[in-house]
Amino acid sequence: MTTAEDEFVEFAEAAAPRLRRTAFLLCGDWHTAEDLAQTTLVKMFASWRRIRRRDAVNAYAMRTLLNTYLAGSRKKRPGEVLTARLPDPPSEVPSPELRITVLEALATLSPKSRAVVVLRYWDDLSIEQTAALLGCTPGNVKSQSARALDKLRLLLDDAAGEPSPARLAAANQMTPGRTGHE
Amino acid sequence: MNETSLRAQLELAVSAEPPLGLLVGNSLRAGRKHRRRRRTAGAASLSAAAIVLLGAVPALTTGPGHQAGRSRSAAGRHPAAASTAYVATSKGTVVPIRLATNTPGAPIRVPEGMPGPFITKSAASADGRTVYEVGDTSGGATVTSIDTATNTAARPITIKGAYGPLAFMLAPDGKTAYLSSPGGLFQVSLATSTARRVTGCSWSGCQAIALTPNGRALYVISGDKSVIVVRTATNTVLSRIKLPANSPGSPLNIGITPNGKTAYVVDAVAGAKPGTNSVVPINLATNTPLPPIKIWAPGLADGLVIAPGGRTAYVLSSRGVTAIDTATNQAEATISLPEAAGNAYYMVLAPDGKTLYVLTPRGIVPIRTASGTVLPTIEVPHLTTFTVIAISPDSRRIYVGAAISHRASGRRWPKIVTAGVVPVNTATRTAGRFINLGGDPFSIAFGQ
Repeated sequence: MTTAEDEFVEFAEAAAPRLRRTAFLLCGDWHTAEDLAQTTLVKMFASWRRIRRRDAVNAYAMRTLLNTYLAGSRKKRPGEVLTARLPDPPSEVPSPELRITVLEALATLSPKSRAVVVLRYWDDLSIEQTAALLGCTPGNVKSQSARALDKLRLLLDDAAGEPSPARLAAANQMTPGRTGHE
Repeated sequence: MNETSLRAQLELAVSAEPPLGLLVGNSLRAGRKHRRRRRTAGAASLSAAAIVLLGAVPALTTGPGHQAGRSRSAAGRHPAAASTAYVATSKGTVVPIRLATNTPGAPIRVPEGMPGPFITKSAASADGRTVYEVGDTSGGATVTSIDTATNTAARPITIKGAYGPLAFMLAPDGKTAYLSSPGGLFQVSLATSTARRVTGCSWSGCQAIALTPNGRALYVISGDKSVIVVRTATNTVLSRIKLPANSPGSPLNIGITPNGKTAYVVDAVAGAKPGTNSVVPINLATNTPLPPIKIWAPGLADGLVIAPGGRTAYVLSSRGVTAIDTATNQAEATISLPEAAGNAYYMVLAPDGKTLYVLTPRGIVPIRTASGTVLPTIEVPHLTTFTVIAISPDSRRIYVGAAISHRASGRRWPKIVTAGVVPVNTATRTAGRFINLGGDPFSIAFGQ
């Protein structure tokens, strides 16, 4: 192993858990997350000499992970959801016994919205950093964050009990067949 | 649910992660093969332009951190008479709204802020003559002061290293302010428009802040389940208070009683059974934690407000409010929210101390503090954007974030057309007409 390779291994060992966790929240299962993280590291190794500078390297890793994930999500057939748990995103009001998890709720967002949520609220990136990584404007990130949080709120029940009737009713208002609030 | 409870749920989802196994080794082997193939094929892996772009992206934080945004009591912090609400929006503007007429004035340009539940991203000076707005830019967080007499903004103070600002608080003397962020705790001198880093707070950054009433000490929540105490006169760290080992959650919020004797730290656990969330009192004379007070209201506990007289601390959970007697540090009552209201988002306490207002998907639930009586829910039109709720210093007006949405046929979710605030008259408990601000409201401060 050369010195550059030693350096890469050191970086990869430190970055791998973090990349895999972010990938997991993006795609919903550990196998795919592992694949995404590995693909990211492989691509980085290929260009390692050019990207060794410390402060760019983490951003590069995140950008590569996101591009790999988003490219993969575009290839999916319409209706196919990137999670091992949920066969379909909830298109109807969930039955009272079903307790929706955060992964299932994330699955109802578009890949880009999901990426915004994970970057902002898991990786704790600022709006500017998120916008730079996703190649969109900060304004776009801000509105996507707010919308995504609204949707997640309606789906998630963080009480220990069953979903409340009001939450189901509110979620009902956002399903096909209903108009927005007046 | 807000950012912090979302964060808690994300952590729960990730907690069952399998071991890494051969991920790094496999990457190295595959990488070598890929590199050999590439060299022979002659393809470039990345264009020079892409690398230059990446070089411009600011360094990422190395670990996850909490965003602790919470409802905070307005009591004692706002000027006695305020004529204008200053609403910071997602368009990088602050819109002044005259309380008397509910009409928006010309927008004031400031560096773009960020959404977030009340972690006070704006604050007014005690005399109401200046409103301070927090922004988040690639150069760092910014603090911009607005002169309320002329509604003009001064040149922003940029705080390098303070990315993703979380909490912002004015010191009682009005001369300095404190800002917490993943990059650390910063002190801002409002007189000289300069900032300095006071301390870091563990790998996940500095979170919610509380100041003692005399301004001499600052308590900041650190991501490693401790509270760091800073002497503000010298900007030195006095001590680090570790939360008791039997508190199972994450500290989300902190408040200090007006007599400066006790701090309360909300220790939150997502998806736990009632009695697991707790509030840890801290004796500020000795800076030691006292036995945690169990919270029995279901759901994640996160909101915290302390009554103006200091006798009661109120904690908001998804399904109820817990009243804590600060003299005995016992939970004296758990007030359940109406079933129909849904899970609570935020809570504000009227500055006159008489009424708590809890924002839920169905509207605003008023609770009389003296009796614990829950009044009928105030229905609010267009209540689809839960980004902000704030109450005026005279306790008579509430503004809550709202949006007009339209669901086109064939689409699953409505599309937001425009956003703004809805005014609520607290005396009649009725909502007024939607005020269009052209962007999501992020925070509200009341000035002259």
